Amino acid sequence: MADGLAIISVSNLTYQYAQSEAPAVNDVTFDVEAGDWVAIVGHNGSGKSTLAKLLIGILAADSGTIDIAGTRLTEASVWDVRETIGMVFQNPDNQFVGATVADDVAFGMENRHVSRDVMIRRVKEALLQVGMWEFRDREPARLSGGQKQRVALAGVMAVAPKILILDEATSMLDPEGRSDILNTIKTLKQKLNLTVLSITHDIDEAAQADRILVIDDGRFIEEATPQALFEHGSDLIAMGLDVPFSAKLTELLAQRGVAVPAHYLDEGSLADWLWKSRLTK
Amino acid sequence: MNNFMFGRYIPGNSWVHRLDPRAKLLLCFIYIGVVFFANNFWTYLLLTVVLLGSIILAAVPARIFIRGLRPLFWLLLFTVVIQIFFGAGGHVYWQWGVFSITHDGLVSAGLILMRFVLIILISTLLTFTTQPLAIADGIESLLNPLRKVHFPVATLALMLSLSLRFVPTLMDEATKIMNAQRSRGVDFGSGGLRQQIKTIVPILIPLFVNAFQRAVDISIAMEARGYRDGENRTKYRQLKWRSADTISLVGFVIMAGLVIALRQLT
Repeated sequence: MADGLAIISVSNLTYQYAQSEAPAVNDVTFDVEAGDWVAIVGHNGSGKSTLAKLLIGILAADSGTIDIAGTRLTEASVWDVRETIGMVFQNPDNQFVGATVADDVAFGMENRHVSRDVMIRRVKEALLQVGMWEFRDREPARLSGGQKQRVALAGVMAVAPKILILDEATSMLDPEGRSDILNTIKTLKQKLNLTVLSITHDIDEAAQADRILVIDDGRFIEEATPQALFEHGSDLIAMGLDVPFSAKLTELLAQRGVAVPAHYLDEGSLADWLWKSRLTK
Repeated sequence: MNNFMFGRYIPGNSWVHRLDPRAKLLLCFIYIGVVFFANNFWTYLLLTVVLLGSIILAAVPARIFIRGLRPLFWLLLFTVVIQIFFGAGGHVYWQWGVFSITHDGLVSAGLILMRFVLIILISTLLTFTTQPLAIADGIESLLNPLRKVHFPVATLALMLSLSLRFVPTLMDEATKIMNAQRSRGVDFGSGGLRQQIKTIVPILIPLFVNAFQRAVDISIAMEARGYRDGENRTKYRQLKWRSADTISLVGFVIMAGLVIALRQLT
């Protein structure tokens, strides 16, 4: 894995909160290659969000190292590292800094001393990318949760990071807003060759990933492709993930004595399989 | 809350709406300062004409202004009554114990009422025609000279803009908490004073705790987006001073001069 392409490289990372008895993140090692989409899943309290805070230097690790785009994360380099990372958090309300949509998108650029002419152009570009340009003068109180997350995404895109970290960015949205955001992210990822690290409970979000890392009690317990992971069927629930619809259906069919294939099928291939199995009957 | 017009913003695109917020703040300060110099019929007439002119230019319906005054009605009445009964000097019309109605008392009650109404109306006009955000920008820009004495203007401006941005969010949350507590049987607005104060606690504490959580979240989000300090940031939003601003400022300065000149008439 460590073939030199890794844009995020974490090794033996450990962090313990002052008040707690066990480390929240315990000897975690992983690499993310440039252009990959990696999902980190785990149930509540498994250390996912702590990991996210460690990655952008909000928390300082007790031991272990983090290298991001070739820079070792230290107290001195933390601001340089943050330049390369964009982060979308969970609560749409609590990350909306600007008084209006356009102001919020500009916030990151203001911090980076971008000149006003460039800012005006990039605010427009970013808002067009996420489909929020006609809302530019709206105040956050007049937007839906999904729209606020799209604005948060635009704010991140305006500063053109190499890495996008989603810290449960879709967990407070309704299903429609969720798939909306995920589609936007997918398009952006392709267009800008982003590396995406998504920390999530959401099955659809995890299914978008190239790789899934399962974390439990601060340790990585499994690393797999979504295909391989979803074969666990109902064990997924213990990992803090939902079971995909097609896996649920497969299991129910198996209970009724239908000889279903043992490996995981997504909805499309399950439909194909059902379709073919009827033909042969 | 919906009937409370005082301090609201009424969207529009009138001449006054389009003025620079700095200009409007300055105009408001000049006007309020000058109101205290007014002392006779002609000065008040001039001030009233200027106010009515501004209201007409702002194209905000008069009934909205009257609704804006309504919550302050009892305060106005109270002050006027106090002035009438306790004012002393001049011809005495009526007397009973410490209460008396005198000529000077009536005159000063009239003056106070007039001043009150003028000041309230001009500041209402400011808030009706200027977005809170623009007011915050205006205040920041007017405070800029204080940077020389190391006053953290940029930080103050950020705090102001964040607070304004969170007002509706916290209002929504307060309503939600109130309804949640109501559904558990808390009865708001009934019982004695002690009882009523007690029912505030189950709103206040969750509101505070949530506000702390929000503050933590937003500071992390700000830091993740590269915010270091208030200084040395470029600004997306910019105020534009136009000729209309200069014209109205000159107009108000002339009015101030006239009021001070007319003051000598009596």
